[in-house]
Amino acid sequence: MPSPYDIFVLVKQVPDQSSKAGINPDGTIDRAKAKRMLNPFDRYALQAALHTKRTYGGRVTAISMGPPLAVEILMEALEHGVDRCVLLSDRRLAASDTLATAYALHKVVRWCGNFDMIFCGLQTTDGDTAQVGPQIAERLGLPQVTYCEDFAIEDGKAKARRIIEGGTQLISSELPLLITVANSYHQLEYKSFRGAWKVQWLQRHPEELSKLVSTVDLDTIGAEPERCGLKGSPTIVAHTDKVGEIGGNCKMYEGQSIPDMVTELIKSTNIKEFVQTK
Amino acid sequence: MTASEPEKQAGKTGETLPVHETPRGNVLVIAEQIMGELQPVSLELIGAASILAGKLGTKVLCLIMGYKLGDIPQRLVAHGADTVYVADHPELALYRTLPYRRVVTDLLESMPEPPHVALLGSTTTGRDLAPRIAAHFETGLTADCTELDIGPYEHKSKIDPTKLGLYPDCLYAIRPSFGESLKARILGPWKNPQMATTRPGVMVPLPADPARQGKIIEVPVNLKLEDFRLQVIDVVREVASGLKLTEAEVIIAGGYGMGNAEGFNLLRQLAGCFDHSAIAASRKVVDLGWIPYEHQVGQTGKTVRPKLYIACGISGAIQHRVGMSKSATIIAINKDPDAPVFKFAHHGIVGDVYQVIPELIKQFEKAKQGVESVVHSH
Amino acid sequence: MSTRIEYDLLLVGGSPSNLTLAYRLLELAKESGKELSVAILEKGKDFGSHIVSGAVSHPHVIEKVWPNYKDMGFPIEAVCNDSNFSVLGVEEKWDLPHKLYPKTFDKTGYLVLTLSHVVAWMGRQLQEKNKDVPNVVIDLFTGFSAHNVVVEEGRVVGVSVVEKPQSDEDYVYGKIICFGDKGFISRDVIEQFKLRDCPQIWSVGVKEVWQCNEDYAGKVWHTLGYPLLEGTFGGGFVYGMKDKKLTIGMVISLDSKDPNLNPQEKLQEYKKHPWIQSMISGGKLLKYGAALLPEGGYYSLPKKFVVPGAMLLGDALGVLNVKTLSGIDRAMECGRVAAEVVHEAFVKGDFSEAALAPYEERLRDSFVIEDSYKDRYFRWTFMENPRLLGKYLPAVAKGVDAKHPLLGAIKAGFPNPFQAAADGLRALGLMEMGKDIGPIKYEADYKHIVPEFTPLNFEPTQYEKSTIYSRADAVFFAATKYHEGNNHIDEFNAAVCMKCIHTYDSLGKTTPCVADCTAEVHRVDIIGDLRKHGMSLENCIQCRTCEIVCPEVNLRVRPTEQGSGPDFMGL
Repeated sequence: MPSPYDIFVLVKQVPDQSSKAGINPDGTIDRAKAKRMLNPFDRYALQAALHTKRTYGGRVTAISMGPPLAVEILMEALEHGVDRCVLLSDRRLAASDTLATAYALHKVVRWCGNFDMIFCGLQTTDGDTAQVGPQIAERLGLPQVTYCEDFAIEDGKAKARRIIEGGTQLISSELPLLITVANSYHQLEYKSFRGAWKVQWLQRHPEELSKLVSTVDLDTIGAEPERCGLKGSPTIVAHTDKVGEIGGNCKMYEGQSIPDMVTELIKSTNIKEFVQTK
Repeated sequence: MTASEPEKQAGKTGETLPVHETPRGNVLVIAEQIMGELQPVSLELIGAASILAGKLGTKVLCLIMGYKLGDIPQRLVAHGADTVYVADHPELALYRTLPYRRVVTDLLESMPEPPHVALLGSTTTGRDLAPRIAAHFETGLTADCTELDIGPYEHKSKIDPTKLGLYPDCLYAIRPSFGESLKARILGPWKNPQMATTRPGVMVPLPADPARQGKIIEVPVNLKLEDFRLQVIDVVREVASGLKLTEAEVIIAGGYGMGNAEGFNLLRQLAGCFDHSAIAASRKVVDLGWIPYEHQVGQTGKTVRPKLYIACGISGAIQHRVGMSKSATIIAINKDPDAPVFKFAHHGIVGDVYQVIPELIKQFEKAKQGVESVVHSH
Repeated sequence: MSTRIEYDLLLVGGSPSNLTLAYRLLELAKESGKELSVAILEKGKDFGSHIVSGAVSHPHVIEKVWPNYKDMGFPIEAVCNDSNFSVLGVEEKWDLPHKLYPKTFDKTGYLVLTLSHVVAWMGRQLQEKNKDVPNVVIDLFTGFSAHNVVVEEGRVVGVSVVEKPQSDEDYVYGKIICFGDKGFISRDVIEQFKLRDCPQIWSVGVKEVWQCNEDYAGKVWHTLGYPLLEGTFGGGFVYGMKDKKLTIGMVISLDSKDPNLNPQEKLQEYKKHPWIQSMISGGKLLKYGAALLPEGGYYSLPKKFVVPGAMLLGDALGVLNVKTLSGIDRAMECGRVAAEVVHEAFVKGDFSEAALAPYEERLRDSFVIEDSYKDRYFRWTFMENPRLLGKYLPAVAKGVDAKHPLLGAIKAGFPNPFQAAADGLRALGLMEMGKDIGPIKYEADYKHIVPEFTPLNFEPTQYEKSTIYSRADAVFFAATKYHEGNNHIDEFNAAVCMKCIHTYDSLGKTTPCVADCTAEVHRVDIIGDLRKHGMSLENCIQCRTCEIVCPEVNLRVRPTEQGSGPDFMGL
């Protein structure tokens, strides 16, 4: 039996964009009012981490960075079966860009101790950059597998399949390793009733909960505040523009019978040029 | 903290901001090949880099890594690179993060001044490599830009006094902001290279000029043992099932309004009416698992510009729009007359996709039979 | 080895009955100081996400449980100030003079409610109140449903929380288990303990919420007639709510002769009526949903309300009163009464069937069962005499269109005045005058189906197309979301379905499951030469109509896992 693996998974709470709550009329998001959820991409990372634990043995640590409320997604991770959670929460982290975020997160990872692999979602739905994972790997000096859609351990080495343009790569890597998991990986399994039950029990027993869930700040993890938040971010959002109406003069077909509208559409466009003639 | 507050304070005291006149550096493109095949995004990036370098009055540099690269360096020159750095080495034959990262960081560290701007493609390779380079140099990186420009910027926020001042030649990295019909201009003038990635199909390449002259410089490849921790065992090229999305003339795209995964069968039927057609999808339905990721068009999917784009049951959120708005003709079919898609489509039918599409197919069939019957009458 | 997860009280279903029970129990336990642990299973992802109702309700029970409900943020859409009972022709509407219809249809002063919001509110109140009662532990398990009942030595002791339990981890146990569900799981208790001789009969309710341009808050209409003019029991309802929102719905009995009665389509026909058109044209559809209503009333009640270890409440019991159109207050009263009995049992430490029996006694003494008894023949009246809905009502409706509704009624009786008079007297006697004809026994709904039956079709010609939604489009407004691998409807025997499809094909019709589905789930798949039954389960809004109307009793809708299903929040 190989020694059990120490598996880290990084998760983030994002606004639920499918819900209309908290979406301002101008399209911006009021994060205080918006519904919150676990970043959908992270569900695949969580599944990869839990599957690795269940298959090869080990312990899963879920790590997140965000406001105190982000503990909600760590509770969700606990329900799904992770073993311990760490939330990095500090006001000085506000307005961090990807580089500053990666700096802070790599510090939490170090603080959490030894690990064999770190799973991350491919990207978040609120940033869409896919940068933080590789940037953490760079800071930790790790090899990485991005766009991973299959993961296994053989003879103490990671075997993974990653998506590339027009195909896939099969790779083998030494551990430790950072993996960003694509949404073609397996869906997150159901949370168990016992998991949900345990979390409800833990929430009534704060002293037990605190053994599994810790909230840390920059001082705890020894991160330099200058390298976090706005100060530590090399980029800023200097300007936002409402996207102008492109086109803007759509010819509308409405209120007539479907066949009439279709006939008119075919008449007034070049659509027929593309229709197969054979 | 928003920028507006310190801005006012600066205005009150009437201070003049320090001007950070730095020498204008070159624009670097990190080109990409897969198994000796130069990726089109590289030429698009050189096209964009030429415009930026033109504004800066500097040169376009290009780095290409691989093995047995043949005439690729010449082609990069022909498309607008002034200097091409070539790292041709057996260990670079297949893309791997660590060896490629080593070559890039070594090259940049060997330069007396870092490039002003560094650009990569938002491909699986570019998105793998770019963040590592940015983190290594602790510089800013903006993903998936839809526009790039050079321009001045006045930083008035006093949160970090060392950043205060006027920066005449910033990279404007412009990208849609999440979930919103907003686009954000992202800047990072404090450190070079200012980095950005753009999606394939967004920028426009220059036409090839075989007579164009440029320098081609061999780059030393000094890999370290730690760079071999990860090995590629195999590469599986997918046999292209159907036409590639980015090459299709006609794209039939489906969104959440299709109702379910089976709804895409109707789209496939419609696509069958056209030559050179392909199926695309919005992100929401890809997330729902109705159709695989390779069909996704939009900010986190592919960028396409076909001659004809038929959007079926797609609301037209900004993320989708940025991936297809340059299509020559956009036809939208949606039940909701207020759907944003009608704001940028050229033709819009307000109706149930399940009624409109079968009718379209029917009328195409009829037209076809019409043609045939004419032929038979001869 | 893991130990059993056991609670003192296990509530199955986040229903008005169970949530009232839990809240009232908290109050009682606060007084007594009794230590208790309570778990609530709710199959929706949130409290309220799988519940849909009219709803116009009298607040008398709410007042008993939450005397200050109005100051507690209780969600009220409107207070009814204009109650109407109307007969619809195809083009016209006739509001009956108040004297002409039973007083129970007058809803003035009643509350117009969005039940999903009420249930969500009750869930929040429970959590708030719990802070005040530290001796009670309440665990809320949203997204978990009870799939199988565990009976040990003749006593209900627990339920499994997954369809195929594999270990003790997949069960939850309770010293007392209260079923407040709509039958997904309580039917197993009723079957296992053989509690019913007379089957339950059902209606399906379909409902849309619209954003209108005008304010109709406080206006309430209940309608008979169009589009149900072929003898099917049922009617429509339109309730004005605050913020210019409007509820439009229909309740349609599943004992219809028509094998192809599509409730969603009927609702669209209803919406084509000029009167409704005038309210919704230019408006916007916000939500769509459907649910079953247990309609059997008194004679469909289980023989016992309590079995060893378990109690039945609300729709699980079947306390809805069709005549007075009220169910919510009755369900809540079940919870209120049960809370007292359960509390007494825990204080005494006696969970025997006898200790729980006072629940049935007290409920039988309350308005819940008393009303149910009083109105015990209401549904039967229309069943025993098809002329009431099949002949007289269409005639009145015709009269409404001719602007002479009363003349229509007289004309209807004209060919046979003696029978008409006798029919009228008999109906009046059964429904209003307390005439007793002894116990009755219904036939299951599907047995009423007449495969050859083809109704006449009436339809207004002028309506705004954009206000009408196909069934597939309507599902979009029920916001269904299913987890991967979901498979919650059993088809017991594929050959039986193929035979049924053949039967209906040969009549130029489709099967009841395909036709009557409220959400485009059932379909006929053509595979080679075969015509097989197929299902798009991801569309299902879990109304269970297919299960009830399947002529072969070959379908069964099971509870879903992971909170999968529609999102009825706002209905």
